[in-house]
Amino acid sequence: MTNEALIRELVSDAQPVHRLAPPGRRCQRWLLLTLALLSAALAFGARADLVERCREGAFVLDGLGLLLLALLSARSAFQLSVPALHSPATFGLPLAGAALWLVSLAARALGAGALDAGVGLGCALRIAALGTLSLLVGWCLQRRATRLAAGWAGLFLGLAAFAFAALACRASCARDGVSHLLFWHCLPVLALSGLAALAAWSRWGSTVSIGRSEFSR
Amino acid sequence: MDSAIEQRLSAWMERAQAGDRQAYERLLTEVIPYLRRFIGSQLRGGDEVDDVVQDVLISIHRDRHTYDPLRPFGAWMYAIARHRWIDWARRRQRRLAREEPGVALENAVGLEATSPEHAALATLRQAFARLSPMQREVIQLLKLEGWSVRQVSHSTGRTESAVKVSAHRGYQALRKLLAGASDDE
Repeated sequence: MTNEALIRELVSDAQPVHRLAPPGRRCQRWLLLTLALLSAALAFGARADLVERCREGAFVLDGLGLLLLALLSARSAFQLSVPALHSPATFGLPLAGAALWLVSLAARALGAGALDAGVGLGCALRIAALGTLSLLVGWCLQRRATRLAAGWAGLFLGLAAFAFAALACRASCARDGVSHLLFWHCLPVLALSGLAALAAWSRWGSTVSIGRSEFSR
Repeated sequence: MDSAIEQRLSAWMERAQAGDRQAYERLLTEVIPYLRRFIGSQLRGGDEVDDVVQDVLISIHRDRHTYDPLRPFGAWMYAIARHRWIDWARRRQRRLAREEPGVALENAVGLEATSPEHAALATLRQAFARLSPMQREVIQLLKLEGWSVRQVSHSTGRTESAVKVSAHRGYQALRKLLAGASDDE
């Protein structure tokens, strides 16, 4: 097919389009919905000593690390939904947030009696359930987004959703041992975010072979 | 792309988003030379350039609702073009990886199966098959496809230094394997 013929086809298919809302606005909507979801979840099961623990530096640092990871990842995920908006910071900042969270866990490991592992399947399941709901909300808001860098966008949205879920879980789980946090909180966040990246890539990222007649999908 | 052209393209795209087909046709026609130049700087062949340009046009069409008229049109368009070019390079890499190296070698050298050099080529093919996958891929792209180190680096996601090191080690390994084969004979 010649370029001219393709242009004729594209032009004949051109209907008015509803412009995608700016990434910042969609990110705000997602944050509001996610925070409402997590607040509702917390209302049923916050740990009894939450107020007391919030006065401890390590607990606050841990929470801040997670919050930063979630916010920066959400910002990056929505930035990647529009061509040309991303920069090296889009990829670097969520990684910095993840590093801060891991550093906060490492700092906790230096504390006495911090290596209590405990079985925390409930924590992992809670993170998976809450994070998946939040992820689905995010995917709905991203459904009209561009399919460039779909794997990365899926990864960051996954990190944001599951980090928020881990934050809610942190506020309800009474175990503070670093092994427990690493195995039952951190690992599920990373693994589930990886799955979100794979899902996004297989849904949108692998559709790179664009047939000449597929443009109107 | 200078600012006057940028503004014109941006205005046409804004009108195209509202359903103005004339503005849309003008826009798509006008961007082709820019896309050809951009994609052409990455590729060698004319037909392949047009294939990628058409992929970019289709992506522009599909993602036109993501363009914000407050932002530069050129950056938006080139971001799409860059991704489409990378996708194309990856598809090509996968296609090459599926091909048996020996077939590509024979195609490149153009030998008949009955020619006297065919036995030597079979030895070369066996030696080539014993290289690591990374070395095979790099040598195939550099020597059989004629890609530059930069293009291979871009396509495979490795640094240019890593590509050079892989190629160098591959050549050394091939030399040793071929020397061993001639000793056996």
